[in-house]
Amino acid sequence: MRVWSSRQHPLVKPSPEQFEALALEQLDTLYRVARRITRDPGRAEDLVQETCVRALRARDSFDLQSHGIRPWLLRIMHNVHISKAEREGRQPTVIEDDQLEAAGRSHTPPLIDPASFEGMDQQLVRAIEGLAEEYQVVLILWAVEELSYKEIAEAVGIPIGTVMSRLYRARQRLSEQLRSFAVSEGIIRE
Amino acid sequence: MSESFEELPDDPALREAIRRACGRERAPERLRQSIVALMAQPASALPQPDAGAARPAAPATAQASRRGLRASSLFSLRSLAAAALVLIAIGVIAVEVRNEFFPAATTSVASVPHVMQFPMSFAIEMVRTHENCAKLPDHHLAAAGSDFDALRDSLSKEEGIKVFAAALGDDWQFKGAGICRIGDKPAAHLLFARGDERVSVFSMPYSPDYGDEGGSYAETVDHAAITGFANAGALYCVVGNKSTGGDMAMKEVKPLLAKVRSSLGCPPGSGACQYQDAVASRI
Repeated sequence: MRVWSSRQHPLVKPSPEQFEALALEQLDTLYRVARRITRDPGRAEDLVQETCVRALRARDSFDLQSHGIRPWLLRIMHNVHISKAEREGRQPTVIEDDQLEAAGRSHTPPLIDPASFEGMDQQLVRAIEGLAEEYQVVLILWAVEELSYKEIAEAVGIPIGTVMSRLYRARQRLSEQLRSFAVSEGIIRE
Repeated sequence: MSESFEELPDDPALREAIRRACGRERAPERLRQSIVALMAQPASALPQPDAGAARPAAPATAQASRRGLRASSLFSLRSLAAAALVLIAIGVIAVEVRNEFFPAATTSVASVPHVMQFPMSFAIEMVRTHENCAKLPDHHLAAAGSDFDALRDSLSKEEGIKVFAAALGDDWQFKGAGICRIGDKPAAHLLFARGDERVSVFSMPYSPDYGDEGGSYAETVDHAAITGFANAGALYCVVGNKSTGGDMAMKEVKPLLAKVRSSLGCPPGSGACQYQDAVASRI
């Protein structure tokens, strides 16, 4: 049951119980995003767990009105992920949009039954997984989690213009992939 | 919400497809239990989240350290799951004892405020519909001076819910009504004007996406004040702004929602609405 709103909430400093309820509401969101970032269920669980530990430690500094719980938690997760990548020797670098696009092009969609909705869903999931991580995250936050551009920008720590361009390119790339799939399966004619 | 949303048109079909394909994924139950157990611990007992930060792992040892982290996570998961079970058992016993010895102490529904949270895209679409319709010279079905009873019957039949159709009073001039789309959802829409102020009243079937039924909503999105409530399977919203693009204060829009409630036979302070009013006064 949804009890608290993450936007325009009267309580600027929620009680520990309210904070925990708010955070637990976002667990599925955190896990979905973690799966996209890490591409591995076990690592995703580790990432969510570490995010929650940090959030619990920082809950006294949490201000509901100025952050909103979801962008705040996603921002923590983003920071934890960057720190982990640094610790594991993968130095995060600034990635240009053309590099992100090139990263997704190596993906080859596998053959599946296109006649079923399940098959189409699988194809869409595979197409999304073929996108660069940065595109996937923005796309999922927009489509599944229904965050505004501003909230996505806060969560991922990028300017709002970058959110929009990544979303635009992700959608463009998806539509290209799905179109070529539909043509190859005879669903549509070129 | 000052940024423009015009650069990238919404794509409801793609969004829905992605949501269907990727939105069903849920956090595993063991993860949920471990987080619940973490929350039960005092802050001082929480594990150090950044234990490896002080000594960055070399690339060659990254895999090994990750395995170690996973192993320690599994160990802590087991302990946390056990702790969670103990806590749940204590909770169940406490509830049973309370129900047995203090039956009058059961909590009422109204003890927890329900605050609705619309998806941001839905709120933005509602403002768009309001602004687009406000620009029309006449508003679809009915022009000013319409018979509200007939209008209510007609719109209610179309929407399958009890639609609001009445005068708002206080010099608000009725500009017309119609079935308008908010994104892909059809809603009964009445438009009113007073000077350069424009107000829309939307009635539409309630969906769990909007938050808890019985809840209230108040937010300013893109310079437009939106307030609303859900009742008896329907969602009612009042959206207001100025035709010049200026803000209309939430305190000016809220009384109009009270009129909508009253017109629907849901006056402030009565029966089921008492709870909604209590919530509305807090948001």
